[in-house]
Amino acid sequence: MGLQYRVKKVNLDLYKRKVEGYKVQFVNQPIIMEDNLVEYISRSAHIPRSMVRACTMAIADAITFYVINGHRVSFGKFGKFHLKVENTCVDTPEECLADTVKRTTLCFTPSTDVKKVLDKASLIEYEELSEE
Amino acid sequence: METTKSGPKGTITMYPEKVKLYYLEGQPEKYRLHWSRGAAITDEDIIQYAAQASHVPESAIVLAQEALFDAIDYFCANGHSVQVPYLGTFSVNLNSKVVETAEEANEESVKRCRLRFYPKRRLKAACNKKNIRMNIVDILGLKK
Repeated sequence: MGLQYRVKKVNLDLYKRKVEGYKVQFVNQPIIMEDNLVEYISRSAHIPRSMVRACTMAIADAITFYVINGHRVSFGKFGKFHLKVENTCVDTPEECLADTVKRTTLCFTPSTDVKKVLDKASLIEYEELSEE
Repeated sequence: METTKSGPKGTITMYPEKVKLYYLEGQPEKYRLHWSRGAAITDEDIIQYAAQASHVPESAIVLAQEALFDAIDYFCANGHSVQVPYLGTFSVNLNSKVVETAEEANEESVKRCRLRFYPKRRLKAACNKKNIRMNIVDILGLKK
């Protein structure tokens, strides 16, 4: 199995001229919930579920610790977590204080390997089940 | 990572730098804070820290991490979104261009596939600026 898509009809409004077109829409598969993932990891790694939860919590805490201290954290082959700092410009260097920082957010940048893998992933047209 | 009211949990070093705003009329020169990034952290560093911080054996963390990576890889490649406990949700999305006929809308019209991450509220809160101390140092010597 690969990534599934369906063809969707779209109406575009190009310079006040309505145009009909078609585009590919991604079909989301059911979400793998936390409990299901923990069960999957527990079975594949042969460790208790409670231990899996403790490990994921420890990993999340470690990522948070390094990110808020300004590091870039590798997350396997998937990409990197890093901090994004948004701030405002001021007229003089003396005005550059901590108050000029608007917000800090956690960002995830997928690696080029993942992008290549996903670009090469097989795309299958989704066939909706008929009522007959 | 606790986000209590006891004060900032992390520290980042920032320094003022001169920037030219090309998009504004007259291209004025302004100043803003730029932050110096720390070293790149590998998976091994994460495992070591996680093992020390949570009394879980290092071997268990290694096994769990490998299994977690395999699970994300497998499920995302099949179009599922994966909720990782305490971390967030990884999901796949694709962008495509609009074509004139339904027959043209196929694999070739897909521009790119992306892996996206939506952090948990706990993780978002931990990375809030209230939890980070800004250590401002004038590295470039711009202040008089």
